Amino acid sequence: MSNDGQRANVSGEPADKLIGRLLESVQKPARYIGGEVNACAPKKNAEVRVAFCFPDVYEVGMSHVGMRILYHRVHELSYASCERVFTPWIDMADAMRGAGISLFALESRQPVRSFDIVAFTMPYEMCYTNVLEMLDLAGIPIRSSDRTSDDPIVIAGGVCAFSPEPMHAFIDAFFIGDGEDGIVDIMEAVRGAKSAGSPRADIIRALGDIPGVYVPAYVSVEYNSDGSIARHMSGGGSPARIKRRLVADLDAAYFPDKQVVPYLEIVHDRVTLELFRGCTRGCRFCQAGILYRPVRERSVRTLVDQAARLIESTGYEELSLSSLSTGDYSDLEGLGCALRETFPDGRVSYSLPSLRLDSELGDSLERDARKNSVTFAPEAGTQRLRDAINKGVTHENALRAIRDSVERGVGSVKLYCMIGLPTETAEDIEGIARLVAGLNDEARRVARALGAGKKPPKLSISVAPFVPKPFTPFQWARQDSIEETEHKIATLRRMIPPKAASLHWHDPHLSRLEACFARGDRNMADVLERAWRLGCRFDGWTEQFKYGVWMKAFEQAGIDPSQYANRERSADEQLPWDFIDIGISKEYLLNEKLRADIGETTPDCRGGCRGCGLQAQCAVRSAASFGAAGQNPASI
Amino acid sequence: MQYEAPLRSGRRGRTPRRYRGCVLVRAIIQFEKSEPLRFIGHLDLLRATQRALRRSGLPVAYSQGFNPHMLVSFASPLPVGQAGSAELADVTLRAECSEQECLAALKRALPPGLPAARVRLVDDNHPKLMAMLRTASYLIGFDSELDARPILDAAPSFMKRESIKAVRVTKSGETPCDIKPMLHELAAFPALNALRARVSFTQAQTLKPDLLIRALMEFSKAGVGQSPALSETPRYGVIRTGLFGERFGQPIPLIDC
Repeated sequence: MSNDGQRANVSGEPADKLIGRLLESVQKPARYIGGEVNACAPKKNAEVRVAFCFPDVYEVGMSHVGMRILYHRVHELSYASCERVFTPWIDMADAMRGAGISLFALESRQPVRSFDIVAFTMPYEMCYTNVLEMLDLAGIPIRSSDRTSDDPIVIAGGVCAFSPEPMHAFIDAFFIGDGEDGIVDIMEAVRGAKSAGSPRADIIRALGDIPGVYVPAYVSVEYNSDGSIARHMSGGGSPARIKRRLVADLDAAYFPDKQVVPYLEIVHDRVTLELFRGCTRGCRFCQAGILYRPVRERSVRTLVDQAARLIESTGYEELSLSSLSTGDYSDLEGLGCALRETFPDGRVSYSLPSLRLDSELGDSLERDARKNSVTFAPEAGTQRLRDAINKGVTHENALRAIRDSVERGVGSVKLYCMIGLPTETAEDIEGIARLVAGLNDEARRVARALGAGKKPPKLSISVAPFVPKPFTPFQWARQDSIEETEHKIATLRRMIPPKAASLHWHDPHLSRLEACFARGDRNMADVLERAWRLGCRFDGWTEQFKYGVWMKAFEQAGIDPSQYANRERSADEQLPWDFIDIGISKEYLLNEKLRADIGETTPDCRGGCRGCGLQAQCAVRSAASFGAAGQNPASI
Repeated sequence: MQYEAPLRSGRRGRTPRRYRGCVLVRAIIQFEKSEPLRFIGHLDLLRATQRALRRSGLPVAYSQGFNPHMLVSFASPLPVGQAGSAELADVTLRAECSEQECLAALKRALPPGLPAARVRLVDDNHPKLMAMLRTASYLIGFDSELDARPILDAAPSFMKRESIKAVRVTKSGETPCDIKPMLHELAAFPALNALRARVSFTQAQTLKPDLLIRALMEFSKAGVGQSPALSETPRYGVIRTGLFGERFGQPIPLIDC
């Protein structure tokens, strides 16, 4: 872990000046300058220096709440310094390679290679090539096995770490679960080992003893004779089991009282409060809804306190009340009243980003927001399929929401649906078109009845191919082939006239790769490296995504993508992520899958515990107001 | 509050606006936009200023209407990449506070790359800064690795010319023009490897530093100085060092107009 500056570059000029010159020729140079209000001042002599990397551009990474929390969390440790790094856009990355400038941290412009820890957060699968790109730009060997004692320790967390195998060759240690406390354990361990003079390999081995940490070098995979996974074994010869970390009490958990205020307009340019983690709804396609169980709420008091500090320290005037399903917060009315009391002059506006169609908001904050567009996610076109995926919303919910939109003068309504969901038939696809037509009719009828210049809102509908995700009841399901998906999109294009709604769809090729990586095993690392070497990066950006190149990478690696995306797994198959213990039992997931097959819904677990496996940690279950106390999970 | 006699019919003489019964005042703020914030765009600067004003606790006035916004404007936007050492913002306040209080609050709230140097309070009906702007001064610093002496040497005789023909390149094409009437001062500082220039900066007439350097480069190639002419323009950086109005033909810093 050498502390050298930027190595001598082509022209022999000081790096700072060269960086300044590069910035004159690239798009959006403000992505690379740092110096924002509330950014941390680098501590030059910190015992542990962390480069916190986000594998996408500045505007995306700066909107990520997890990174915001952990950045301040680490930097507030007396012995540590934390700096931010984002993926340089293609023009900047190429210019840096041309000028011999290695990837640098925003705060100090020191090379990422000179840090002790390089920490990635991995929020979506299509950012994987950017992780390799950043390691390479930093001059760090992309494979863990090629790194030497001079290289930083590369760790990674975030939602993709729950299914870490496709990245196992590139990451020295994964962290799985809520990071607020775990990151401190990692910092302490590295600090201790560093001061004791331990070699790099020993430090990494020691990280494996921290709960929630997975060190792939010390976990081996045993295979069956047909090449399928038999089990994951730990170094000691026992089956490996990595338990995810859980922060039980969010009121007591760390949350920064400041937030970096960017100069560029970022994707979510506002103060974000996290109302709660987890979701009780149990939609069967939703990974976040399972991974972040059980529901843990912050109290109104904590939230209002955090809001006051953040608004004051940032100067923002918009507050986002975020969660997986904000309408489910147990005291939204109370929170609304308390926030209005705290910010009485009306200068603070609110956004509630994830509201369900069936949320009863009453006189809530959403009414304050003068929104010109609203988004609904019915997810499927027929009640039968909505029941099978356990989405729970009804046609009547959708009709009421559109009536409400007309009354409030909303200009446009956006609908989200998925295609290719398990048990879907042609009738369900037609159902999407019928749903659009029904909403249009209702909107026109209400607008006519109201008169007074009320116009029906413009409808737009986005369809996304279903991607089966680990740890969901649909983790065994197959994804439609590209041809099947394209056929369904063509049907929708035929059935939904442009006058009724504008139809958008997610690229089925991209969804296919998401499916490959979401459920990938160790073999996918080879594909990933080849694709990156062939020039893939920023795959999540439609115009950068090169499907043909990806297929070439699969071919070179001798791997058939359809084995990952389009194959139905059997219930007894050992899945690549089975050694990660998130506390949810596989039996529960399997049972949910069977209920989906017979179109049986599973009610919200606030109405009674469904026995997902987290009963011991779950506050929802013990809350008397939900009347769940007497129920025996086994009877459901 | 004391004012100089009006120069033009601006909005001066109109009844000051009121806001919830308060007389509005305007704070003219001189600040620096330096490295690395020269890379943020004008809209980014506007957002950063609005957020700083909110953090400052100053009684900033908002526009009336459906979507009230802060009454903030700037004398003149800077192009991305250009630094400014004496830029001016204009903020309307809905209550009296002293220039010192105002400056102290801003110094606390503005980001480190945008330090405030001075505040002047004026009546709400003071003319708009942009309307009074006549000229801007620039410091054009050449990179040290290539000696810019031939260009610096050419400056005095360049300035003595009656007219200087140059071609302005815009999106709509190339227009020949005479830049001499727009060039008010030009001085070379060999020790700094830099030029100082004051040029016209109005809606009708603006001379950009790039065009000035191009013309000067052409002129120096004709061989006026002692040193051999340069084959290519050395790299340079531009800092806008001042914005000026005018009184009796003399440049007056815009903040004092």
